[in-house]
Amino acid sequence: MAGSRRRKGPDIAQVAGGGLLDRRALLGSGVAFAGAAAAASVASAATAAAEPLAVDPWSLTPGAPIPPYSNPSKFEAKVAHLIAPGNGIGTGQARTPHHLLDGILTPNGVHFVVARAGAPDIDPDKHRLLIHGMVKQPLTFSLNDLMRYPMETHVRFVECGGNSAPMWSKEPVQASVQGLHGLLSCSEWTGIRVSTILEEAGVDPRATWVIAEGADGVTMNRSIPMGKMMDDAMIVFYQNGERIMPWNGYPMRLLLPGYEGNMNVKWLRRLKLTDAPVMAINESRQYTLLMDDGKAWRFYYPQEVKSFITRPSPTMQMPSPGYYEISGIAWSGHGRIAKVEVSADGGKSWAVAALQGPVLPKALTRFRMPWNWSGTPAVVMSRATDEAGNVQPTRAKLIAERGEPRNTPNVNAFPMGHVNQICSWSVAANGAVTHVYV
Amino acid sequence: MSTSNAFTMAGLDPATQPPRVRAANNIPLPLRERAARPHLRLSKCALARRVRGEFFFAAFALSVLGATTASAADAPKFGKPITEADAASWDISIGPDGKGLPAGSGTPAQGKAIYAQKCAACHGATGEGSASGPRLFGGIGTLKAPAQPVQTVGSYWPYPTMVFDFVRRAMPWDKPKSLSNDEVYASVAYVFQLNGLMKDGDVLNKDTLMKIQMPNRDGFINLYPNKF
Repeated sequence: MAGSRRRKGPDIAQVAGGGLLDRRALLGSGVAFAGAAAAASVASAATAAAEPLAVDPWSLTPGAPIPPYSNPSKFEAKVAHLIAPGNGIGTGQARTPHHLLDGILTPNGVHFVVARAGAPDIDPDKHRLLIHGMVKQPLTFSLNDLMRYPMETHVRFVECGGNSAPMWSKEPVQASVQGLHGLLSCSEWTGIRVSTILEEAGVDPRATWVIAEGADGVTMNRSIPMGKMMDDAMIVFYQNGERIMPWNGYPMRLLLPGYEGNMNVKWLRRLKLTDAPVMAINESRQYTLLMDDGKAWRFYYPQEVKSFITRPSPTMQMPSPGYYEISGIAWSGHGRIAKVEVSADGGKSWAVAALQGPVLPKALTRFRMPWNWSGTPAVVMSRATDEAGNVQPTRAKLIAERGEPRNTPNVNAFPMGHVNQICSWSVAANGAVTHVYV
Repeated sequence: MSTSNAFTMAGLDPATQPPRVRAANNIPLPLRERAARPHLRLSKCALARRVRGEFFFAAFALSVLGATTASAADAPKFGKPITEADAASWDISIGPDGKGLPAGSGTPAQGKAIYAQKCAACHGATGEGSASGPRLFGGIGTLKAPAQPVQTVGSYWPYPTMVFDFVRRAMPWDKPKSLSNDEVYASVAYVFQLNGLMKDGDVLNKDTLMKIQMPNRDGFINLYPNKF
């Protein structure tokens, strides 16, 4: 609302420039809410009801019968994949609508997908896992065999190595956070440790790599360091309590917590132990990072510490000045999120956001920051720090490391991998939210 | 978390449990619960009632270690042995050392005919690419800024084995693994010819493939294991 009245909360609740409020506002503290109430009165006065309440039609009839498997309300149809078609049927990317979600878990139907040849229609009774190469005894396992081993459940993010690629651009790409950061999801995964079955096959001590391969048409493969396989790698069967979705690897996928998504091989059919990486197309062509000098980085495994604000975020419209909760997600492939700082004045001042527990390692962490928007132009940013001490870098820092972006790409392009720069969302006086560089 | 499964590893977080300490985590959960609340066990044990303080905990720790050993000995084993020969149809990975390259051969001319029939629909009549498939040649000299990089087999792929491996496992897109090894060698030979890496009359087989010098073979920096 351009030129609308400006209301400020009491000074006691301000913790940084641009109207950021004390985190206690989130806890229902009377002091902090005094500021929020003053701002909220602007909106409530404008929308005061002038008519008596009507009895709504859905209160006058029985509702829909219970289906065998439920779907969200038809009013939530916008909570859907954003699909960027690829080169052929069944190829392309489907992005997660983070601007429409809250909490840390991604509903299975909108988990991100990067597809190379569609989802194979795997019969779980016929699927097999082969372990061979540098082992004492090559082994095969049926799905039922594997599901008899000790199971574990962990909440872990999976993020494409190319997520946030459109941030690598000369000019800020205008898109929602679904377009900019949607190749990222977080689920509760249940399965078994890879180390358990590798040990059963008998690992040759000279084996240093494991080639993991899927059963899909393109039979995608990646080389995984043995250290990761024996550390926290899992073969998972369940995603948020139900069997993994076909697009996410049914009936089973590799889960390498914190590592580049492509390495978490879907439809896993084979683990071959070797003493060298196989240099598959997806590790020596795709998922490489071309630098200014013409050399390319490869084997960039951990997803570095990153965060972005989901509300408010680009393509949104702030309805009026007043109290809002800035909310977003932070994560790191190196462990837990230790701290998220938020700025509402383009990085001049920062305040520490509240982390919504539980704060889990290699999982999305929700952060929240109360904000009294004055109605004047603002730039909101978030900066995450992980428990290993890694701090989300500025755009300038990434550019100093890798060189200037060479163009302003299409939102679906992948000019650079492993981009984790701080993101800045501008809120104009009229409430429009756009992507800016500061 | 409760369990009736003696094999359950107590639900510990793998991100915080490096392999070297995992033996201790193999303790079945009921024993771990008793370790945390020893009085549950003690009240039923006349001998232990007389044991106090640290001595008790040391004795209990020993009994837990014993349980761990027994648990490991009884570890479930459900894998079914198979020979490498019986696994050969799945063993299609070919690394830069060329190990696993099959017998067979093909020439660029043979490959051109196969290409026209099975590849051109996506990659264009002569490998120039289309909306359905990437360009297969050119772009040499475009990798350094400020050029707009054109990353093709010729300008970017570092190993000739990658090309054979990928075509054999994944192409043609609508019918992967349908080409014979001769057809794979031939179509790969045609792609190499498009990139000036083979001439008419050259034959591609498992020996000549290893002699192909990819222009960007030294173009990569491995971040693992040095960076991580």
